[in-house]
Amino acid sequence: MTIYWGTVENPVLSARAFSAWYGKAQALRDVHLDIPERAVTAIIGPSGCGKTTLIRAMNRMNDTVPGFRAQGEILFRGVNIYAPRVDPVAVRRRIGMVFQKPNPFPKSIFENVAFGLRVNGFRGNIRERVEWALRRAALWEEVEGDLHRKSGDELSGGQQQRLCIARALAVDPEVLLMDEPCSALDPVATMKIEDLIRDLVSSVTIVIVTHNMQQAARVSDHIAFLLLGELVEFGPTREVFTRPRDPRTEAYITGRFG
Amino acid sequence: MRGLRDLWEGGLVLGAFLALPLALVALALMVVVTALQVGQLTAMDAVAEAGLTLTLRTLEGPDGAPVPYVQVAQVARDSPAARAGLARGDVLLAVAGRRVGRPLEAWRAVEAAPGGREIHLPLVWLPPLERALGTLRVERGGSEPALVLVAPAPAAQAQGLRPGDVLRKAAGIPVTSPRQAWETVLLLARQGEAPLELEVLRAGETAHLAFDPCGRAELLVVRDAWRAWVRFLTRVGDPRYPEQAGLLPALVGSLGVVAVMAAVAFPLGLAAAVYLEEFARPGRFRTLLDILLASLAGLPSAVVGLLGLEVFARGLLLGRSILAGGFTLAVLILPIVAIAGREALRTVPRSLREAALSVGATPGQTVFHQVLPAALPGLLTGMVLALSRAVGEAAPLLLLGAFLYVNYVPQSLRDSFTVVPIQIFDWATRPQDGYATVTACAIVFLLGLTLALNGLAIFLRARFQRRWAE
Amino acid sequence: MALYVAQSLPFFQAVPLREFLGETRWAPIHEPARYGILALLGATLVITGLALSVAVPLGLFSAVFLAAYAPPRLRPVLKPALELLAAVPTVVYGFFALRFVTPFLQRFLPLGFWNGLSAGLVMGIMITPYMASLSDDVLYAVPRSLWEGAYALGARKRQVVGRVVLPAAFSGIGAAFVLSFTRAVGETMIVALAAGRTPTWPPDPLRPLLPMTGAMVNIATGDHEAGALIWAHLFAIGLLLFLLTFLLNLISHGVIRRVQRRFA
Repeated sequence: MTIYWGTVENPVLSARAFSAWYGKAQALRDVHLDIPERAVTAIIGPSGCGKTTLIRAMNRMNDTVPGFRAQGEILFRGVNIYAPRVDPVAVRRRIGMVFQKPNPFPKSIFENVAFGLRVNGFRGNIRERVEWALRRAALWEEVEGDLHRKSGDELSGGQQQRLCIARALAVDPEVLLMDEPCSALDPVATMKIEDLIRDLVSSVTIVIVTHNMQQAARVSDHIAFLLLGELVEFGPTREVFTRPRDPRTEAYITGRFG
Repeated sequence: MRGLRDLWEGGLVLGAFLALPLALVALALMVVVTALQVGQLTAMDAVAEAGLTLTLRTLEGPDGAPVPYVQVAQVARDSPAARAGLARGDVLLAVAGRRVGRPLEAWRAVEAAPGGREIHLPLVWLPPLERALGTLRVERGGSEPALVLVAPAPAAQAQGLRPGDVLRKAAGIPVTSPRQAWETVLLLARQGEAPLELEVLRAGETAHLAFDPCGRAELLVVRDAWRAWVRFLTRVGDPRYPEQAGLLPALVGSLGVVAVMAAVAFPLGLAAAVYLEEFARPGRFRTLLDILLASLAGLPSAVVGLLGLEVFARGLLLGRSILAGGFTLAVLILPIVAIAGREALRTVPRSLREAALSVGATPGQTVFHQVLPAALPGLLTGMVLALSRAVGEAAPLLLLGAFLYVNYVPQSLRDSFTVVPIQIFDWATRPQDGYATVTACAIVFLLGLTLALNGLAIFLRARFQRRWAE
Repeated sequence: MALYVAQSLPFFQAVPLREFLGETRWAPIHEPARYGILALLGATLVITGLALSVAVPLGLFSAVFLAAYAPPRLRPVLKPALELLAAVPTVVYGFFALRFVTPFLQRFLPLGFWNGLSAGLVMGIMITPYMASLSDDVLYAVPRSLWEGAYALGARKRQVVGRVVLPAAFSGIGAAFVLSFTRAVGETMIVALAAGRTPTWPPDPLRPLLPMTGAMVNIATGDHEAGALIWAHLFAIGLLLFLLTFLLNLISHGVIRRVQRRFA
């Protein structure tokens, strides 16, 4: 049974009785979860617990995996994104994603950020928007002179990840999903991205998967703890970390497993 | 038992070390031997440009064995050869001091003659009977038929022959007919015995004359390898004489056929690759398509050619045209392009596709804007290799009905045609002297083209291969 | 496929199957016409056999060299070189067989001007890079762990290769063999130039041999009136060739998939 520390009012994203399978293996069991708006929610848990599956389910990225099957609902502002007639492409325009390993396009920095705009038929000034996105991602000053000259993969790891964030931000999504965004980066780069997350949350809802509990403690407002596909506990970060209600949560947080 | 095993293993090592170099040596040998023929092309071109076209003839020698000789088949008007006094029907006896019995030897002599680009080539030849001796008439009456020299040729007259002389012997051999007389003189001249001694009956008395029937002159020839090649490649050619063979019809045919093939096979093959790799759901249907594609790619080209004959030439009433040929080749090449395309697409990592999808691109946009450009080097390499393969294919087009004898340049896609490998095939089967050389030169060209294309593919692969940070 | 059957049908209606399969004389334009395919099939098999007896050892050992003994720096040079060799148009080999190999061999053997031996040998050289490249891919795919396991037991290189790696790659090499076989069966230009235009039975490599592909060229470049039985015969030969190669391809691809799965 999931332990909830209070309810979320007007959640931007909700999972309702959501279960997922890869072929015969079940990855998520009957998850009920509300994501509060303009806050950072961290999903934690040992490896294999389903956190990546859950976060990727939120923008229908799991559709690309053969053998994936979902049951239940994921509501985005009240609308089930797994309803039969819903176009996943439309979903992804409003719910963006940053991946574990930075994956910039093999194109110029400018084109990386502009790509999302172009494929979504953006009608405004692309140049301005690219600058806006790069500023939000705290990358503008480092690359402003090389927008067209440097290719995305010529940047350092940390810069690449911020580029990916800028790319995702360019289309102005309402939610930004981040799947272990710092696990491939060094501590300095990690710190920069954590600062960035705190800055962004005033304009974007952020859901972040992390296996690093100190990071979760530093960065998030709410914690969702997953174990073996089940949501065990969900509540404000400080409360869950200092006084976890479920013994399994306590065991994980104190490092007894995972 | 142990000894046998060790022997096997030792043999394995030895075999391994030897096999590759051996195979390479065999191939290198082939190439070198072929390339050596190229020098002769220059010689052939030099002689042809000087106005001489040669052909091989034989006559029966004294012991019954055939004796070959070189006859001038054509002399071009206003050419150096014409100015030197050569004419059709002359028998070439010696070039640059070397005796020649067949056109091949004549060309070799030209090739070997010392000197630079322009040389004066000393020639010795035997004119036909009329010009060597004059008009001979057989008169009967009397105990034996008599060979009467009715009107001696100017050259003969200058050497002492008079009208009315009866020709009895040449170098001791009795002459019985004009034909035999000439053949005897020819045989003697071939052996280099000149002047010869003629025995004639004049006014009842036997007289002996020293007679040299040969013409001698120096021929100006220009040996220019570059020019020889250019002419070879841009000439339509005369199918009768190898010195005048040209590769142009085959070149144009090859170009046309390959262009049609590319226009059909590349887009379709690419589309198939994209569909199979990006859009088709893995499952039985896709596996079936995979197997089908692989099997199609393995079909012998002859089988495909027959298909082309039926479907394109006859079925679609395209006849034996460049269009039909291009389509047939497209059927052959399409599976190759598709498979290579899939390989190229597979090298693009999944993370790229996910990144594109995550900003809200449709699968189509993802493929078009990100995956394809990223896979481009691999795709290009595949296409270049496909071109190289197509250029060298002969069998399917042969079965389709590409003609072996095409001595005009095809003007439209509906024209009949031939391609370079088929031209090589045709020339290779001709026994006349000189065709071996021409074939070898065409091969050098084809190999050069193949090498260039493959080299380009290797270069593309090495230079633009993206190493995806995995 | 359907096409082939349709086109061959008139032929099969006119000539009894037994003659097609059993008759050893092939003379479709003589009176009376004989359509026995045995001579053609026999020639194909003899020439293919010759070619493979050259290509398989040469190719396999080259592959062993490349995969096991060649210094790693050499591999990026040799492998493209191998692929380059495999790209040489086959007419070139045919010319070489006719003009150089046959005269050379005639010094030692009572060889006809057109004969199956030159064609077979040269075809073997042609197929060698193909076989080598395929075998090399197979050998290279044998997982490193197998090699290392054998070395760890104290085996010397040639023992590792001969006793462990080669047997492991056996089915893959078998598939390479089958594919090379298919290539040899389907090869047209070398035989068209060097092997001759008249069939001999029993197939004797010292005399002209006419394999199926050669016969197809023969018919197609001749002048025959449209609708004559010989066209249907052409397709019948084509059908046989098609079935043969298609079947062989399926088999080898099935084997390759199985090998890949084993080592995945």
